[in-house]
Amino acid sequence: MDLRELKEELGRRARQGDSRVFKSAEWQAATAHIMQIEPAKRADFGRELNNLKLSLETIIAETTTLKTSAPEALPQIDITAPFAASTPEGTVAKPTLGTADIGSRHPLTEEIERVVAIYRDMGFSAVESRQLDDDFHMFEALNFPEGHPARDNFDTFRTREGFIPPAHTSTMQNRILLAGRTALVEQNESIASVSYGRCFRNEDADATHEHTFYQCEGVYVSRDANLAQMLGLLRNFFETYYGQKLAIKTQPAFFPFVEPGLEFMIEKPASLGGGGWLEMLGCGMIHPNVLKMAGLDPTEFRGFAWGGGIDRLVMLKRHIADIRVLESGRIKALEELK
Amino acid sequence: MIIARKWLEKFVDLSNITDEELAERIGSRLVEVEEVIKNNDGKYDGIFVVEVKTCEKIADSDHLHLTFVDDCGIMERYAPDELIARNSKGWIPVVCGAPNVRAGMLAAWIAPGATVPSTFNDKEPFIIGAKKLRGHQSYGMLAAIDELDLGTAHDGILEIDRPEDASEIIGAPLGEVMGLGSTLLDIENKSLTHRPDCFGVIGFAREVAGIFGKPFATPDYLQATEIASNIERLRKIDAGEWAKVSKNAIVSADSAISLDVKIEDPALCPRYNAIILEDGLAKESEQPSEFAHLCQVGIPLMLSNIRTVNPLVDWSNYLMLLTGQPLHFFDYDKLLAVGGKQTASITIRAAKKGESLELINHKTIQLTERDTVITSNDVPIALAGVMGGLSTEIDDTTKRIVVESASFNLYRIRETSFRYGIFSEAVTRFTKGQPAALADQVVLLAATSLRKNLGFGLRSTLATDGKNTPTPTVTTTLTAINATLGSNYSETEVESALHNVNFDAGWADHQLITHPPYWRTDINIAEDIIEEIGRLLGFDNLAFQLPTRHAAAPAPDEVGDFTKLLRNHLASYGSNEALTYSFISRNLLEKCNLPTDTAYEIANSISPELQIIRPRLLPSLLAKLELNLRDLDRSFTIFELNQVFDKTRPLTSDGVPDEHQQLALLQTGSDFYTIKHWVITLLNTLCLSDFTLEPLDDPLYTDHSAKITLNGQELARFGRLQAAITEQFGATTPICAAEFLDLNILLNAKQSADATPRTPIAFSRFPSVKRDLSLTSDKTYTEILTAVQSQIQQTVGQDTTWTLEPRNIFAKDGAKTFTFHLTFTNSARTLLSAEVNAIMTTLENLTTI
Repeated sequence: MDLRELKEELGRRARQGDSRVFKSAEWQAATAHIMQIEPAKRADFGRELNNLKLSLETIIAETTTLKTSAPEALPQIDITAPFAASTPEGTVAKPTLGTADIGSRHPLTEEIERVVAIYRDMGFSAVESRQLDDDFHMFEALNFPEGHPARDNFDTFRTREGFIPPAHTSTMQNRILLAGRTALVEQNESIASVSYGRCFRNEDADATHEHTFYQCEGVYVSRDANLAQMLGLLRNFFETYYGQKLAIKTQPAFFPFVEPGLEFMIEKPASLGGGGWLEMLGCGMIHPNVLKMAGLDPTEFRGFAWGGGIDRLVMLKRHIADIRVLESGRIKALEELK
Repeated sequence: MIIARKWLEKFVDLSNITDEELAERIGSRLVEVEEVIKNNDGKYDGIFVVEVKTCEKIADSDHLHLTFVDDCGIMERYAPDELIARNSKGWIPVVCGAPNVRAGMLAAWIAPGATVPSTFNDKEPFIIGAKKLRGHQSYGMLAAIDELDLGTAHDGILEIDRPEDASEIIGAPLGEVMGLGSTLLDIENKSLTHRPDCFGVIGFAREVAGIFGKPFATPDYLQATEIASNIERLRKIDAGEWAKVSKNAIVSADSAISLDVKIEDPALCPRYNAIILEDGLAKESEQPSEFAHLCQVGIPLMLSNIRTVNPLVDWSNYLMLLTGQPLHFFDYDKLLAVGGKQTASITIRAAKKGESLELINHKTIQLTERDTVITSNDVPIALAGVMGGLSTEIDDTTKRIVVESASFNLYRIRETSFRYGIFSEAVTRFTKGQPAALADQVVLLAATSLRKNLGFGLRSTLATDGKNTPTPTVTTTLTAINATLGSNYSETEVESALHNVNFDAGWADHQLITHPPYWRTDINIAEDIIEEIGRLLGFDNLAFQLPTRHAAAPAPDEVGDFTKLLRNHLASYGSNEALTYSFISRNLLEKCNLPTDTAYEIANSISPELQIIRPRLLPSLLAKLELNLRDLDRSFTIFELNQVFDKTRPLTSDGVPDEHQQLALLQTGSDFYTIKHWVITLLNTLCLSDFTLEPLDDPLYTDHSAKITLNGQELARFGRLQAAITEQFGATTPICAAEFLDLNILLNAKQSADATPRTPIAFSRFPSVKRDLSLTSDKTYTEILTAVQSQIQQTVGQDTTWTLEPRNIFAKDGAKTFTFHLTFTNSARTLLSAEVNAIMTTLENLTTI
């Protein structure tokens, strides 16, 4: 393989502003060529190729700087005008909006609105969950001591600055409890709130896993809250959501912030084909330590909390086989989900 | 974790309970059952215990024997259609090539028509038949361990131990005799992180008994008292035996080998027990046969997916699976050699900087001060609770072992396990926090098991350090239980549920006083007891209710309502909503000429593509441009509304990064005026119109751009993007964008507009007068507009309202002609043309333009 020829060709393209020379077929062929060279000469070829890479990068960098240092020169316009001026050469059409038939909402944000609307009808306030939080809200305030193995189940990301893109919407729980405390203690109001939003887990994305996903979490605290109320409320939610009566069942589960803790399942609704059970969310009675962390006396108040994924609701409803389509930014694919 | 039903059944009666009922009940009251595995169903069908009655060498073969076996006629019942030519005594001829086949032995016979178990899960399982071998008719086969899929041995057929009354098992199915072919339950471990006891079969069986409402009898060997003196008693017995059998005992038989154990930091290791055992106390003939070992230890291990290695390792694993307590065996003589002293001195301490350790997987690790090590005379010999060291590993020549039964700090074990990537069955258990008291019980159990089954004798007293923390007394009331669960349980129901799982519980003055057993380290507060009761009696049995609450309206979700409004408007304008990842690459910002140092950086990112948290939305949409340009044959507008983070913004009062919502739109086939029209329309919809338009200075945008401010705050910026940037994303035609960099500002503006009292609109019943106005000037549109508006304001009389609409702008030779359409209306009367004409005249003669 003649590297000089390659250098000339790719150099020419780079100077013309093609920053993607390293994606070109010629470059790919050159890098693939290494393995065909006899081992003794491989190192030399590799070195030459690397030198070529460096020189191409320099060309690209210089060309890019050139580009950015000289912003695009466009004919002057009157930015205050509502539309372009017509000239003797021709009339310019006035700007218009597009039409609703080609517009679309994202299925996830639509679903969140629907879920939240039902909870609001049930008397719950709603707040969007934070997307960058700290260890205290993500773990400590939820009764996960430092180093607790239960933290492993939450494969969290961390920033260099020590913050956490939350792995669950429960990261809002302490704030919700604090915000509702006065009304609860002094006016005997209950705390009834849902938080919804984007969460993150450090796992590789595949057809059924995403590192970025959406959850909705609910919190209810009063003087007489109990587990039977929680199960009744959740069943009521899903019956409203699916528009039919539903059988439910539970399964013991361990989450440090609830005690008892349960997985909540509903029978598969007719609209999804029926038959079998669907695991919908995790729930439980709020752990006394969590109440204490928000300054609430657990002997006086009890509460329950639950949380589940929104992506799953969307995937079930629209028969989405690959979760990654949701964050793909691919209009054509999203339009098909309308 | 795999739990074998057959193993469970050794501890709890599950007769009349189907696999499905069992899985269902465990699922609803204990832990998620991921799968009920029955792929071994039928694996041992048609395999029976037979007695070899006669065995004669076949003349022209060097190894084959013709045997006649007695099946007690089971084949007549099992497969009546299978025609077998029995001999006059009713025995079946089977040709066998195994060296150990002989008359009088009991063996496993695979009947004709049955599958060889080792091929059971193969694509084409091997089904045994009847055939002639060297002229002799032979039915089925006598099977070796590997053919039965019970191990790898193939040095002879499996010899089945002869019980006192052999007739009990001759003709019996092998599966029943050996406890094979159990249904397996695949348990979701994650839900049991707080239950160390359930990581042993006994603990799991106890729970199963509890959820079926049956009392459970925990074996005595997990409730021993006086551990040390029990061990000493056994040692003394063994000392007497040593005198008789031992030719190679190094120390005199009646004196204990000295063993010293010291915990340096109880926080790392609450409890450490060690004993020395020596092989060779029992004669070979007194030790359990291969068959007995297989039945007792091998099969339970296989059912639990653990490989069998050698009797010693198998016993260590077996006791761990049985009790949940991991054990470690050191080679005592190697331990002495490593320590370089005459007597063994074990210390448990934090590793020191600079120390290293070669593990039994032959990997050498550089220890850190966060690791805990077991040392022999201060030389590290094991990574505590995680993996043993190579220097003291037991091997085929090992005669004397040190048995370790200890408890370690679960957090440190977890940390170390993650640091070196070692995840073992022992780590799984130690990271659940096995109690110190269990380590005590199991050291005695290990001693008795190895003595009884492998012929080991005790050579030391119990060397121990550390202490047990007793479980706390937890009290609650029936009121608290029923109020928390929403149940109506009686005192008796509660008490009996707890008694079933061995809680010491009783009522005194309406107080429920419980002393959890030592293995329940998770029971500390009243809520833990309440959970136990709810769970054991079944949450699904509760009568569901709804919360009782005041009917006050919930506080509005102002931000949520606002973003919904924006999303719906934009979709109705014909744009498509997208969501893209919050994490982006540095490279993406660089491509957009944007700084990267304002972004929070993910320390443990999955890939460079997801390395930083986006400080701005627009680059994410640009990254999707090429894909959509390729996909779509039409112009499009894509938008996203999401949170962004900018490191340069101050933290919130909570001490967390300030977050704000942004809205970004990217538009193809567009120009400055189109994107402007979208933005202005959106703002007008929000009742915002009193804003200012200013030139924009943003490296992403060309001069065909502007920003909109209100009271000095930027609401939005928009315009045509730099081609040098958009070309990198596959664009060949101009691309426009609009950004609302902080939706809070927009929301505040909207709220303040909403809060401002509106001017009453007077709908007039009198006709309007309409006029067109054309003005030629070199000034900007806004300057002309302002001049016209202020002139009209000055000239129109009271009660007259007016509207103004731009109709056309015509540019020629440097000058522009602006055409407006005006409408005048009076609320009290019909306007006269003359009046309007007067106004128009003043406008046409405006001097300010």
